[in-house]
Amino acid sequence: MPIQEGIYYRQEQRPGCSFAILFFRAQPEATAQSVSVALTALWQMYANLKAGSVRDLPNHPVPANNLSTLLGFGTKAFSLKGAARTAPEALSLSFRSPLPTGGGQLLVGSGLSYDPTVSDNLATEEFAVQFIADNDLSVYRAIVETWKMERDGLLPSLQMGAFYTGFQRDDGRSWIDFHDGVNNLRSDERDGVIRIAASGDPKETWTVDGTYLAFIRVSVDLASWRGIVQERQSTVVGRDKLTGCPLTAISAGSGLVVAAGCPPAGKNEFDDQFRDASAAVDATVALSHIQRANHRLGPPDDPGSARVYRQGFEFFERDAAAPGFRAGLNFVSFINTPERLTKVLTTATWLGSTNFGGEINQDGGLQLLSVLAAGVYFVPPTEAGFPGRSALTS
Amino acid sequence: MKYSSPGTADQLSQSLSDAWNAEIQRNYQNILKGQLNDHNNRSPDFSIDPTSVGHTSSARITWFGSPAEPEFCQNKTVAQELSDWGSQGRHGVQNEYCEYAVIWRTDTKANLRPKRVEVTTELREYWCVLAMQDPAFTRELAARVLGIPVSYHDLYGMDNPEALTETQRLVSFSKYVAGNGQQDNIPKTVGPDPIGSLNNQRALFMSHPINGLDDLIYIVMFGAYPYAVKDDAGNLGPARREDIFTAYDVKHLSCRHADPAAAMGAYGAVNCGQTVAFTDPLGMYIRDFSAAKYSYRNNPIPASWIRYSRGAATMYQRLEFGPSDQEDAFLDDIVVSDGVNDLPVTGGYQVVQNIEVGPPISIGDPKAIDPTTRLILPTAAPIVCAQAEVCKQTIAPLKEQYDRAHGGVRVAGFRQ
Repeated sequence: MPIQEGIYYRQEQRPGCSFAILFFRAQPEATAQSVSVALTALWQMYANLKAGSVRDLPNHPVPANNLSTLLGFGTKAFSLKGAARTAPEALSLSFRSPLPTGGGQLLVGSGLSYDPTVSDNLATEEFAVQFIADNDLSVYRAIVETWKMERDGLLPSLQMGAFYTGFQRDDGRSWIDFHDGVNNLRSDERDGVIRIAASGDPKETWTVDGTYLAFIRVSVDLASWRGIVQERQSTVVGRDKLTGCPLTAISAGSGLVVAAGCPPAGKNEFDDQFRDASAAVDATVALSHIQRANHRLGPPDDPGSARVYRQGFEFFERDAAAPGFRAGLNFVSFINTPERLTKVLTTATWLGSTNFGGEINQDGGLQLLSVLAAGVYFVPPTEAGFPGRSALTS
Repeated sequence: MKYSSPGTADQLSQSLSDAWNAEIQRNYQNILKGQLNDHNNRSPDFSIDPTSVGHTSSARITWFGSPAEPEFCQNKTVAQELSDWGSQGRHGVQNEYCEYAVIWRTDTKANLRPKRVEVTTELREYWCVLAMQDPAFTRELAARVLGIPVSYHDLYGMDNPEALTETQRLVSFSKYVAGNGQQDNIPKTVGPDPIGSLNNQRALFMSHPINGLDDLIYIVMFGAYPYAVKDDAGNLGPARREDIFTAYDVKHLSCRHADPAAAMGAYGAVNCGQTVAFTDPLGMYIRDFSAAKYSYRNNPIPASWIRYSRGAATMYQRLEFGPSDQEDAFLDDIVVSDGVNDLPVTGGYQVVQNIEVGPPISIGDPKAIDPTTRLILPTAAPIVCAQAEVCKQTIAPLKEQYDRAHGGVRVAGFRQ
């Protein structure tokens, strides 16, 4: 069975620039059967939207704008009464809950913590649906049409929860002004990282061709970041701020030392040959974010390599606290086991015990990033009705 | 140049140092012959002398110490069962250059419980050289490492190894402590697993045949060629694991953590025109341990419960994890957190899962590679590790033995 849409991992594919993730909780009296009925109706509505057809506007099509929809099952989905399958073992490698008083580690051993204002993680429901489209309208429309169905009683047993939105940048950078997503996997490496392959375990055969979605909505403390001089920012990230060239050393005399030949002659920024940072770096650069996030271990399809496929979207929203807005990243990754991500976030020489990278983030230093919501979902392969239907009803 | 003792853990006499370096050279020359034979008489971009590669920097080649094969073949639960199954598990699946033994003690209620874990990455060949050359030094060292009195009988099965030839000492030491390491110069009467308790109930050094010096040298040299593949348009591109391991008929090595990491790490450097060498001191080391994932009574575990030795920071060869015999706590009082799971540490698997091991590698300055010197390989199909021969030949039978020994019956699939 094919992997679901919404994962743009092939070489010729690019995700649309608008994103949303919508969470659903099951009603207290819901059963696997009743939820299955609701999801079948929901998935049909989404199929219609993807064909440009809106329920209230029959025969008056609207632009579909390449809308994609992807369904994820949280751990709680498998606890529904009558569910045919138990949760895949790997779903236990999920994120911890925030403290009731706010804050708390995302994972034991991780340098990422929930924002102190977060005492409830809204990204841990029974189901999640990811929407991606070429514009905001198509993504928001999908959410509104979902609400209409719920309001009209067409989604018994399911209730809409929180949702988060985001967008793609067109400059290849992030809110901290550095190049981002540079060191993502090559297209020929991605399938082995994303897709659950057949293993020798018969209990997990039904998950083959599925994947896991790991979602972390991360806020960036731009005020604190602005207080760090540019050269030091570069040592935290591991790249030159302007050129994106990967650092190799910090020299007492000449400052930042970048990879030889970068940027290439005639260019003012790095190119493809400098996407991967060298492993041959000095001790300071070894602590930087890009060096920590990818150790270039073994082949990517080995979970021990801890490589992940990232497909993130930025966000920007109003906030009551100064400076009046909040900016950050919807970190979205697709991986054939959440262990890939938990290893990156908790292993000492990776991002374990460090908030972002660089010595200033180490062991409780500068908290540049804080988590607003996070969840891990199993993404079943496609099948008739809706993806994962046979996991609910046999 | 001469290599120091692994981890520079020991001050060696001139004769011991010479013997250790001779062992390194012997293994290197044997492996080189094989590589030349396999690669049409072409040498790898590797030097056994790290000072000869010019201005060097380091390449980070590491992997996690938990066994990959049982996990690929079955699942993580089975991997933990088999890996933690005493000496049978150690000899069966601990083949990632990281072996361990669990020390058991009785608690106040007469329950036998895991007290602590000993992890070792020390090379068998090093200890064999010591045992051949200097029994007294070996005995004193073993006693110091293990913290117990050690007799010649423990090491050689007899009380006067000075009366034996070096070869006889090697055979005896292999039989009682080291195992045969699948070495040609050890008679077949010596099994792969030692019969003495010193390196069965304890972890003195690695004894699994795959965790050998020869295999380490082999796999780094194997990767140290400028392999390439051609696309449909004839353009050269980097070779992948499956291309390299399939071309040389060693797919069976590709479904572990260690061999692909070591080979592909070496290849990554050579692919940039960098010559590869082992950094002195040559050895296998514990590069890091994620201790922050462990807690005791909701607090970080005491620092005294993480005891490194046999080397220096990032180059230790030994880790003892857990309380000492003088303390009331046990290993399974320690909790390891993984995702939302907080589980008692019941064996060594949960420790080596969070250990990174690897050999320090030096690499020379990058230089342009003449495309005509590339070794062009055919593009290979992906290697499906769940279907590897080791799953049928080794893991499944071991799992059956385990189940018989534990009276277990597995039920899989749908809800009951």
